Amino acid sequence: MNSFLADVFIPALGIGALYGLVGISFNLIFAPAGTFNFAQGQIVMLGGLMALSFYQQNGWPVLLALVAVMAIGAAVALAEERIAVWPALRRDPRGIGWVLSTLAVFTIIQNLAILRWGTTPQNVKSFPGLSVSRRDVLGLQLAPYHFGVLLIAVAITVGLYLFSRRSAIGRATAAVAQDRDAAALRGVNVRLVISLGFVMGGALACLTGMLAAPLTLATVNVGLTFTFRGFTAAALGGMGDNTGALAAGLALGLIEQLTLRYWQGGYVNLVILLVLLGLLLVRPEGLFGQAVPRRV
Amino acid sequence: MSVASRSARRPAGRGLGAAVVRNAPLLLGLGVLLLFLLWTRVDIGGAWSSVHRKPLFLANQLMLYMLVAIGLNLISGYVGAASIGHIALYAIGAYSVAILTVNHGWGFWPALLAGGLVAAAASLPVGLILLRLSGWYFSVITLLLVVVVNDLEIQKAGLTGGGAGIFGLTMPHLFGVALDLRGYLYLLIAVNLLVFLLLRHLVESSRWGRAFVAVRDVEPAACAVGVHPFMVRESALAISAFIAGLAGGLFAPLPGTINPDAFPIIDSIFFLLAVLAGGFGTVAGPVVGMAVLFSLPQVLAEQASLRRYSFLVYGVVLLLLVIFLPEGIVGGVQRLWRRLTGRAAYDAYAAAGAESGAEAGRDGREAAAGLGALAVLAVPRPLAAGLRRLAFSGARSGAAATGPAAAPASSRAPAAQAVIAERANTEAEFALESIGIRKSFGDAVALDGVTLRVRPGTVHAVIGPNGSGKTTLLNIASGFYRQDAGQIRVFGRRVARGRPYRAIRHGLARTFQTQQLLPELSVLENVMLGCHARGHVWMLDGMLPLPHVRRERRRFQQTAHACLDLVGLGRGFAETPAGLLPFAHQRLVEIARALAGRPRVLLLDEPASGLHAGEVQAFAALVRSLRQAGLTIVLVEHNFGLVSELADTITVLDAGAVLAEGDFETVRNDPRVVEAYLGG
Repeated sequence: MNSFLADVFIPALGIGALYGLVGISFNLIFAPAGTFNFAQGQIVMLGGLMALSFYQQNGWPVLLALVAVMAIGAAVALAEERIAVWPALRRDPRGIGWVLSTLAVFTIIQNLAILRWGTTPQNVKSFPGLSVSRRDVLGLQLAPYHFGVLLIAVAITVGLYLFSRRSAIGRATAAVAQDRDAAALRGVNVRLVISLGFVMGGALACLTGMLAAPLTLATVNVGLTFTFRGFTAAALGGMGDNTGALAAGLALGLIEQLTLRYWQGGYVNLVILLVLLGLLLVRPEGLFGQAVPRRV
Repeated sequence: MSVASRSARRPAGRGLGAAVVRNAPLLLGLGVLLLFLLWTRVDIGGAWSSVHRKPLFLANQLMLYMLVAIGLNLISGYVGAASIGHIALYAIGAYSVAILTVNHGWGFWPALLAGGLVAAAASLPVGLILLRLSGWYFSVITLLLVVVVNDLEIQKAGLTGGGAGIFGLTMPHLFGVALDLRGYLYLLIAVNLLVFLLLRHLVESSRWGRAFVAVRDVEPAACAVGVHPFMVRESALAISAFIAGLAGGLFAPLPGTINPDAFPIIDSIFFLLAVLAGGFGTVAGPVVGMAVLFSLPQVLAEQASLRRYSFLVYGVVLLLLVIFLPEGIVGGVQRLWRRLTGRAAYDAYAAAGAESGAEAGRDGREAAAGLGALAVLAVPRPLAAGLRRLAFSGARSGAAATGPAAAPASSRAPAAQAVIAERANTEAEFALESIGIRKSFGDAVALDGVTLRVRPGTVHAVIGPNGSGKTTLLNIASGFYRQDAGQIRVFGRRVARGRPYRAIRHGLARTFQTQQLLPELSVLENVMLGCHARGHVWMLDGMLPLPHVRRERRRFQQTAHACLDLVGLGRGFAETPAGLLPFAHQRLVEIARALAGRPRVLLLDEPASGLHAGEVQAFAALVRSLRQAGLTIVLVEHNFGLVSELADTITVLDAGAVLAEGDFETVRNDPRVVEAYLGG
């Protein structure tokens, strides 16, 4: 039991929190824009690689690296929104143009990253106060890192909840998410709200990538995995529901660790896909989402 | 995607020019290929180091990728669900052939068939997502499929050889002849051509092409004419996946070794890119797109210094295409073509409009239409026969008054009755019954036990203030909403809840408040969509130029012409793109489409809103003639004048309950109605 806690449950919480954060970063974009950002996993990947460059190789202080990484993530997402998403959305809000254009950005970021960082995975040392190496806590061998990531994820979820309830811009985002036209009629600057969604989503994605780097290694190949897990967390939790995404992310972490322990690593994605398909067929709106009646 | 790219039909116009434009991509593709073949005669061995760089190998691969793109266009272009998973289906086909031939000693050809079937089967669970979720979920999940299939290729080493893969595939024999790369290329060209022609026949000549585009662009209307959206999507996906699996299977013997590296995810995006570049939902788009784009990385790869940028270039090209040329190369050419010929189409339309709109001809035409309706709809047989003759003469006199434009309409009037057989009247007391219908959305109760009975052959109006539940009731009756309690019966037969695509089979047709036409398709094609539920051609036979497919198309055309005549839109409008028509005429097209399903009950959802007084009068005349013919009509309407003029019975709804019912006078004098409308 102790080894289960230490080897499966606690790591599951840490990794699951990361998936939940990626899911939340999807939500931040999905809520106002109604689009799923295929490139989001690649922005997460950029976060890890920039942490490698700034923090590890250039030796910047961790806070400075964090701010730089998040700022660049925000800028990349904003550029994506301006160049790739908005033109497609404006032309046909219900079309699939944005699916293709965000896929294009997915490809572009991946290949730019390969040109800059190559394809070899690299180790990133953990941040001060958050060691990935295990130490004895109450007789269990635990890594503080997992707890730290979980705490950060919970804090971000709570912060976003307060932001969306208390601040004017947060309420405007909620209004746009519910009915874009009605919000526009009430004087909400929809364009700005959508851009802000991308800025926040990009910053959070890069933050998550930086947090993940000491656990997963910094490599160009994590982008697809994070798109996979982040989408699953967001969809299972109910698109747009941040608490749901975090809870679903933690569940995914557990599923992954259980599969690793009792089956084989190569089946993790299969198991997650089956869980996702099964759940979406029964509850298309996700575990915590609200069913939306069809409009005729 | 702009609407300009969404055309399921050939570019407007006929004759040699149009035929060349229609087949240009095919000719272009074959031309490119021919050049390729000639080129491969030239020895340029020095520039190509490995076998994979040999032009013949590349030409083979181009043909295979083109095959995938042609299949992908079906699900992503026509049906509108962008799949990123086709490389996984391609891989499944390749692995199936490799495993069956190398490990199990199957012959190549049966293994190839099995590969296509396995890929189709693998696509079905993924397609289930389309049952209840929108298209982008499907896109993401197909992406996840690629990841999972790649994992399994590595993980199930006992089956797939793991990372090293499966060795020792040999080129197949055909008719006892061992195929070399050149022979194989000819084979692949033939397969491409075959699949291209089959799919072109499916989308251009069978009822499914319209159904695909309708499911993509106007799903509610697709349901209303009896198209089952999920079945259409799932079937199109299976066909598309089968083709991808087939292509993968054909690929397997080419390199002789199959391993996970042969199926990078980027190729899935590349397939989509090729379809997009050619033009989504255009028949020839994937052929052109793949032919153009496939050469790009080869050119880049020749320069070793540029090779590393080739995937980056894919991404940039894809982005530029989405933003600047969303309708693709073929779509762009079609738009140009339409712009060149569109002038002529518009002139023809304007001429037809001027003539049929002329007041002189109007009465005669309307009378003819009304009599036609009598014969077409539910009337006993001997009476109909008499009416047919009357209608014929009436139409002819109408034609005499309207001039040449209306003449074809009159000659079509008897054809109208010939194609549309009478439906036997049942003994049921009511045409439509809603019994104790209850519906709430969350906490809001929209309908609280509404019972409404519509007698056959009457016009029954449902009125009420905004939010009283009129449209909700109509949506429940036609199956779009699922009621919490109560039942709907049509001529005594109970209608299943929440199955809008079943309504027309019960004889229930409807129109929509907001226009649900396919603007790029011709008026005639739009009305032919309404015939869908009366068709019998399935997707597999729809691919073949069989007599019954052609007969069904002709039958649909005749029915559609007849229905256009009924609503007073003559032949001059038939070939006009529906989006060009003025609003009032689009309404008429919608009604014609509803009639094309030969309903016994027609539900009209605020048909008069947005029409001016003259148009309202013409509409009223149409409704009267339809009623005269025995059609039952349920009218949800705000226009009190129109209701008073047309309705035999009026039901007033207020706050989800029936407030009053009766003829116009009864209802108008009911104090509760006055209170509800005037606020007491």
